[in-house]
Amino acid sequence: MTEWDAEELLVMLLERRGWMVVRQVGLGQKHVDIVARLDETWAIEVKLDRWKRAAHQAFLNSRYVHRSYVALPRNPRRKLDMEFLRELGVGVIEFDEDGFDCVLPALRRSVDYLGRECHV
Amino acid sequence: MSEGRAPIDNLLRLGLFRDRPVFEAAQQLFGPIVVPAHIAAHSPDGLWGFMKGVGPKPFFFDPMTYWLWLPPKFWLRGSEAARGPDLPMPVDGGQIRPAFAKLLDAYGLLDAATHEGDAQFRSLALERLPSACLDFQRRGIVPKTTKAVSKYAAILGIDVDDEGFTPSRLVAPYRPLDGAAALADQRTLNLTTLDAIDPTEEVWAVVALDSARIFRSLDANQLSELALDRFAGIGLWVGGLDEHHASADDLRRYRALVRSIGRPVWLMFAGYFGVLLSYDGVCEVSHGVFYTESKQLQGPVGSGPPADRYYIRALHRFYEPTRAFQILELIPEFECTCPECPDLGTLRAASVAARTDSIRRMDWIQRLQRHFLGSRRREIEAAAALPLEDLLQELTDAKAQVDAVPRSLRSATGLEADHLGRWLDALR
Repeated sequence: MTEWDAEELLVMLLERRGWMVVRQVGLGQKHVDIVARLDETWAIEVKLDRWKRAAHQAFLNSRYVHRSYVALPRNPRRKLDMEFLRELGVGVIEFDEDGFDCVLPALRRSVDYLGRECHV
Repeated sequence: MSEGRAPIDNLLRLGLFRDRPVFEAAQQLFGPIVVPAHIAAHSPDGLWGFMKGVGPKPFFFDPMTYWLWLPPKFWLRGSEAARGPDLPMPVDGGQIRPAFAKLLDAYGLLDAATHEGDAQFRSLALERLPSACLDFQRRGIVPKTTKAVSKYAAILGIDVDDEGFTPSRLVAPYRPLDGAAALADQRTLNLTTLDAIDPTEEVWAVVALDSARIFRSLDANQLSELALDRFAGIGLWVGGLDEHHASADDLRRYRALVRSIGRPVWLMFAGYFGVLLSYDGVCEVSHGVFYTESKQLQGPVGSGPPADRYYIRALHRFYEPTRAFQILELIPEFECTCPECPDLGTLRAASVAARTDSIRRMDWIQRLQRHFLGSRRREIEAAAALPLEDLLQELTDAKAQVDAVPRSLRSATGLEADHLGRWLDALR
């Protein structure tokens, strides 16, 4: 599975649950992989591995939406530093073809710059 | 101003005519404008309109003559050409970048570039440049055509007139100092220039060398061969020296070079470290509205749209805006209080809005540029008003504040203040 495939899968799972989704949303010189909106707006960085790098980007995204997540394909052998992620206020989504779960909820903020601009 | 020190000023280097609104809005925030001569040669009407629009502001030319000593591949159209194989001279005139061809023509060297071999061309350049370069500068900025005058006057909503602009100083032609022969050439250029000027004219010389070179061989004796003491001041360009990445040793050598010049020094491409060298003889630093705080002597010429960059004054450097705003949230003491920066929320909203259309993006870029110019001005004013010890203490305090941020958050934002540590080492 490539990162693009993983992103496609997660988009499908989100849409199946009623989320409005926009992909590759420009933010500064980077792009947020997914901006999704249901009752609140989430920014999601999808990675196959190298979760720490994704967490750094999710940390920067976190001030532009209600919640910011790193999304990773389910892998029981992966070790995440939950304390580090909590410190950043970044949440973690794990997903596979059957669905997705928030294994670590992201800190909620009262801002939604990206959601408003994307009209999602 | 601190006792016994010349005043320090920041000069703004013209890069693009479309920066005019920023030059105009921020004209109290910088000193004279530095106009690269190739822009003047290529677009005299546009330059006149630009200067008219900016309003009353002194200017002078960077004669850009170092180009003539670069390998001809750097003269060609398309910056990618500079990465290709070198070209023999003479060069096909159609291949030369239009602005550079105009400059060669203005200096009476286009024919030589397209018909002569390398040695003959350089010899003619040495012979012709001093008078041609000075004459070009003395002509100033002249409105070329009635049509152009009317066009720009209409755009700017001003009365039609034919007033030109005279440079506030002349700058002697210069070449990269990349060896003994180069020193001899520069000496010839300087002495011939001195012979060609009127005693009433203010003329500056330029010392341009690659950063690696100042660390090897250039010493005070060699500088004395250049007759620098007979010029009003000296422009110094240490190619490739990036204040934010240079080692403390390299910065110390840079500082020693500034001190050894013994004349007022204009750092042609510099940032805040250059401002701090005002205690060593620097009286002017120049840079673009958003860029060219450092520049390589030899490199491809080209530009794209300006990247979004936010200047954090306490750290004296630019960051990508989302990163910068996160850093400011981590260290609120670093937040800016200028009119462009009401609060982080407003800045974040504006940065997001800017991605949706080109007009809002241009507004955003100009806002970032005005913020930078205001920040630079405050740096200049602080450097002029405070003793060096106070400024070093500010750097020490800023570094301590950065170091106090938890490592995980620092790594997540790419926040570090190593450059401040190196500056402190070099300045103490």
